[in-house]
Amino acid sequence: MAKLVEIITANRLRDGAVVYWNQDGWTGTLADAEQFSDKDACAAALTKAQERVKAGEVVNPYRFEARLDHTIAVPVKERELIRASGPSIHPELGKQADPSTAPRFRIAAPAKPPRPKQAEGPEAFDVSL
Amino acid sequence: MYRYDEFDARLVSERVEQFARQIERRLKGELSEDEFKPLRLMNGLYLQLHAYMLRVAIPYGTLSSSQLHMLAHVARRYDKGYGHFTTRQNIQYHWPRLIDVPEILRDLASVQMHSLQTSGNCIRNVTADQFAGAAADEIEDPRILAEIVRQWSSLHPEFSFLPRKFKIAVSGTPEDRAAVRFHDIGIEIIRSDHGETGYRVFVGGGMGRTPYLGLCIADFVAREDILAYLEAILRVYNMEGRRDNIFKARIKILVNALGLDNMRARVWREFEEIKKEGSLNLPEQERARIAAYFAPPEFEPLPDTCLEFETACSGDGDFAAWSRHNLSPHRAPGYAIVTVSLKPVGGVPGDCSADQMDGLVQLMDEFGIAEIRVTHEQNLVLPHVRKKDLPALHDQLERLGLASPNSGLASDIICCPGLDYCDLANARSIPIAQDLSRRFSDLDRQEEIGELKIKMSGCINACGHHHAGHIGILGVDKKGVEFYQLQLGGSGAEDATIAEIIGPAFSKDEIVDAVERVITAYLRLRQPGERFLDCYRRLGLEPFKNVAYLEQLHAAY
Amino acid sequence: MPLIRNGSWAHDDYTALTDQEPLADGGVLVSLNRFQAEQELLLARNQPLGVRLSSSQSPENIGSGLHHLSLVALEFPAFRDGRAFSWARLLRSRLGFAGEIRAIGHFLIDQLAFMERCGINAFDGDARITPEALAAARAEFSNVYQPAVDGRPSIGRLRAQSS
Repeated sequence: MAKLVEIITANRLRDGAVVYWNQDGWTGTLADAEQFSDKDACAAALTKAQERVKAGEVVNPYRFEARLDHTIAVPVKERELIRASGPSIHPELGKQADPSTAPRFRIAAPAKPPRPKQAEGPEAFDVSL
Repeated sequence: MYRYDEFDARLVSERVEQFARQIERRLKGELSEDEFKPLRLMNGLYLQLHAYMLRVAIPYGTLSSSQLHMLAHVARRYDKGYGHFTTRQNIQYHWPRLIDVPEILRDLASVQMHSLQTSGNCIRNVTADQFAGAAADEIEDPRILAEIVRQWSSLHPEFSFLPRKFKIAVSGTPEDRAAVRFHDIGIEIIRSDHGETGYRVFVGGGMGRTPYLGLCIADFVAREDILAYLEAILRVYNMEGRRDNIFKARIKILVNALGLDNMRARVWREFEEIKKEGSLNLPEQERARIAAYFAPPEFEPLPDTCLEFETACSGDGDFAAWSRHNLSPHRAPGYAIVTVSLKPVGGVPGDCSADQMDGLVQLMDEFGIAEIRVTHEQNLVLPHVRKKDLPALHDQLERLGLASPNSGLASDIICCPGLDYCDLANARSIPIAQDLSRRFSDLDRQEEIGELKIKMSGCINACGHHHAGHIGILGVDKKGVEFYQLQLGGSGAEDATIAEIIGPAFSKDEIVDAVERVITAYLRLRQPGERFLDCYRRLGLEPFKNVAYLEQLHAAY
Repeated sequence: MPLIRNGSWAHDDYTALTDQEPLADGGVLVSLNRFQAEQELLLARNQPLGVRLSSSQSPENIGSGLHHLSLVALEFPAFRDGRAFSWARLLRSRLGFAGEIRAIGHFLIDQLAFMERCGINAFDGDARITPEALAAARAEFSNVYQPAVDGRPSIGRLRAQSS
């Protein structure tokens, strides 16, 4: 069984973009998110992240579960897979369209349009929804 | 169409600046997200999965070419080059930045558009028949009343913090293209036995967790009384609607709890008092002022049969097919109503690119078409087109990728954005709609199936009107996995019914096959000329349920 | 605790009482329950008297005693609860109440103009609710579409006058 970790996410206030907590700030890329294997450490980080709400950085931080495949965190729920990538029907839009923000996994396209050009790393693989 | 006077224009501009200040207070931390959320929703601004989403009102679905051009401009300048037309005749942009919203709204205000009350617990943008002013059997253009209601409901001091959202639709024809019985208030324009035009009012319709058809609360409300009557309904709802449980807060729950007679009596009490005060009586002069804006364009005297058109129908296969499905009878001889399908095979239902919008603008200018309409079925309508222009117009639509000949057919699917965008969704809906549209892409097959309304939502809130689908599909979440419930026998038309759930949900790999099996069974079971809906009504759930689950039953044993 | 009455800071001349507290000298503000239970005693004092309504209590529950009151306080338990907008209108129109209608509890400056239009003329809110905020809220819209109880002519009426 793949190991489960937790990740903290939110949407940036000024533009709504999906961001992930990393150490003491936010990153737009799931691959750069801090992975918590310890519940208490995650709770403590979430408290810190929530202080950023008052500072007007983000809206509604929360944590979600991801499966660890080697070092790559793959969200358990579809909602987070899609937030990390972009709309599954528009591979040319959202984080998946930009190599610097694309996740290191692909949502298996349910439809037939051409596959997105991804940031193809050696560790890229398909995740079926 | 309606043109703002100085009062309308100033109010919209002032609303834009008010919202700009609210955004500024939010960015400065003077408003918490909890406080800001209802304020931004009342101006159509959501925070969705990937970004904010701005829902721009298209009152009663009517746009001028310059307004459509502005929608294209907003899509290019502030978004990602496209917009999504919704089941409430609005347009949504899925990627705007909060900090850009004031500029977007200023741009929209410059062409008399806004996003007032496209969300929030207030009276939402009023919808109406997309064929208004063109339909042959129309008693009165429903947009006249819809505009009157738009003004009355905009920034209403008493009804801006209702228990829940409130949707009003108006239809001016016996044939219902506005789904009036699925609205909190549905208004049907009627003519009394004495020849007086007035309104039949339905209350308590709605979809979502507890779908109900609206019930007739007033058989005939006189023209001058309609705002007083609406105010009375809203007051009873505001005072007595439930606020303890968001799932029981819509007016349908109140109507059901009180019973229709009780509800009618309460509304009547408020109505009499409001009427006595007199200030909401609608003066005929004001009604006539607004009505004048909706006077139909002067139609050229044309023969109803048009040689160019008839020739083209018998010639080019694509044009003939398109003309069979995407044209509707117009009240003026020599004219037709054109439905511009936003449902290309494998496309995203309701999406339209900025280039397509501008292409339509050009085409409208070229053919002298002043208005374009948005339908609740997520298509566009050119209401007044000369038949002799149709072949050339079709060529241009084809070039724009907007000539799918599928209006009213299996691939003309209503579909909400679903989990690809929406924060509330439980499952994706667009990919399923795309698969279905590919499965039924063959036009001969669609024509053999005939009229079929497939409607699909990604959650119980039913933005995709699944309850009103001949075939309805509802996305659900089972432990983080997408499943799809199949419902049959709904209708949003004048023969309104709520679809019935056939049984356990299907996986995403099974649902399209299940729909196909149901349709195949229909083709086998139908009588000559019988629509899917009528066949279902005659035979009931059982035969369709059996075939839908056939494979699963075999697999289980 | 200062409050805003008719657009300016004003002294609160009522003591807000729970249902158990003994009556204080001068004006008092009591719950509907207490008013109903002790109506005769309260009215016999001949002092300013106010009744506090929760958002689920219609002012019609006050009954004929309403005309002996100088204050009705309408509670906003949360700014999303908009029932008091209708209660205020009922008080001013159906019930003909001419005394002070005071908003208490949680509300936003973005609601002040609506509240005034419905007949609320006093505000006891959080630190953001100031006469300046109220004045700014009043000035946000030059005109209104609806007739309400504030006597402002609706846009419809203005159109009729100018034509």
